[in-house]
Amino acid sequence: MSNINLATKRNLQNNPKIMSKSLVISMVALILLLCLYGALLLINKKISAQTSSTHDQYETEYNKFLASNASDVVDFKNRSVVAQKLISEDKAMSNMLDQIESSILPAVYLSSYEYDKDKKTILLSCVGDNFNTEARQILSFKESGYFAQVIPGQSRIDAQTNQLNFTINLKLK
Amino acid sequence: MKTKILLVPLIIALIIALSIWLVYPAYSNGNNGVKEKYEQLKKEQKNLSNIQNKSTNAQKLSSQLSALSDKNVLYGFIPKSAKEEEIVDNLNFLASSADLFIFNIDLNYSKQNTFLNNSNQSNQTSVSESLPIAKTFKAKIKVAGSYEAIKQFLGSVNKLNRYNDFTVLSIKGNANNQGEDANTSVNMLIADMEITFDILPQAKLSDQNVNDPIFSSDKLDTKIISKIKDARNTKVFQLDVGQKGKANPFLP
Repeated sequence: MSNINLATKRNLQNNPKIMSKSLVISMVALILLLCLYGALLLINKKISAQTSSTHDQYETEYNKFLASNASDVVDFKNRSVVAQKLISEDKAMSNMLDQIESSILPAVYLSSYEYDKDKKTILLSCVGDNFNTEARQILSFKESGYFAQVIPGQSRIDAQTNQLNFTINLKLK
Repeated sequence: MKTKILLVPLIIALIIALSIWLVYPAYSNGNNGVKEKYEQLKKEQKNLSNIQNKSTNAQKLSSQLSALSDKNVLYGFIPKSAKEEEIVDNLNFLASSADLFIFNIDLNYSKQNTFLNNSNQSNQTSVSESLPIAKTFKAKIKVAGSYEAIKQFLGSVNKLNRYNDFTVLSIKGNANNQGEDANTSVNMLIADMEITFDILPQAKLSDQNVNDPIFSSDKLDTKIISKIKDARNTKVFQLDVGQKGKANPFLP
């Protein structure tokens, strides 16, 4: 079997050039890659140093900040927030008495007044002349709109004075 | 010639291998590559810039606070300590002014802290968890006098520029006066009151509250002072000890 050489004379002449050109390109690429790697290592080192220095600076500033007069500012703010909350929930006791005064009937008087903030109630022991007065008194408290609930309690006639003693529990809003 | 032919693909393979195993990990490996280090640097720079801003704002706020003439209105409204002597003196003064007779004043710290313990949790936008919470100091007082006097006393205590709150108020007719003059008896009432006074210990800047939103602004919010002035305008009297010292403390 005979061998046939299909390569032309020109190709044979050019191949070494192409070969050496691609070799050079690939070598340059390799060198560039190594340079890139080296640069990355250097940048990494530089960034690390910068990070460390920034962190140290941060620590110094942080400690300086903690040691500054900022505590007074935080205290003022905390006190303001607490005061704001207390003022918004502040209820004047005399206002509650005003409400009772404006709702009490002339024929009724109180024998005791018991306010409990936790239970949000005012327990009134009242003295009146009859059950109709008691009923009108309950209605009067209901109509005032100041109380969330008006709960009538026990009522009984005092045999000695012939007056009606009754209790009313007022639930505050 | 054969070596030359093999060299190019070998170098290409080497480039690929180096890129995958050496160069890219040097750029980013999820831990200490250039990319991560750069992000870390940015983070540190941001932290530094934040703390410098906070520090500058804190200085401005602090100087505004020092120059604030009415700041004692707030510190008097919720003081740092109980100042029991002030409570006794003021309650006595206000009761006397209203023509009330005081039977007793009983002072003690409440075991339970104020409402701020729980409600503070939902108000975290303004107060850090590490900040102190208000403590309650109770004063139980028993007085006798007319209805008008009791009402006047309640009103003036409520207007006191130190915060207080009536938790219990019981007013009853004086049973001991049944036999006396009818008008005096009806108008002579006995009132038992429980008044709470709040105390707020000094807050300190710590790691937990260093990010408090107050440092993001350089202007001090002082609106609360005018609100206190509007709501509470009776001044707390400052107590003076007067003459002191005695050779025999048992001598009357």
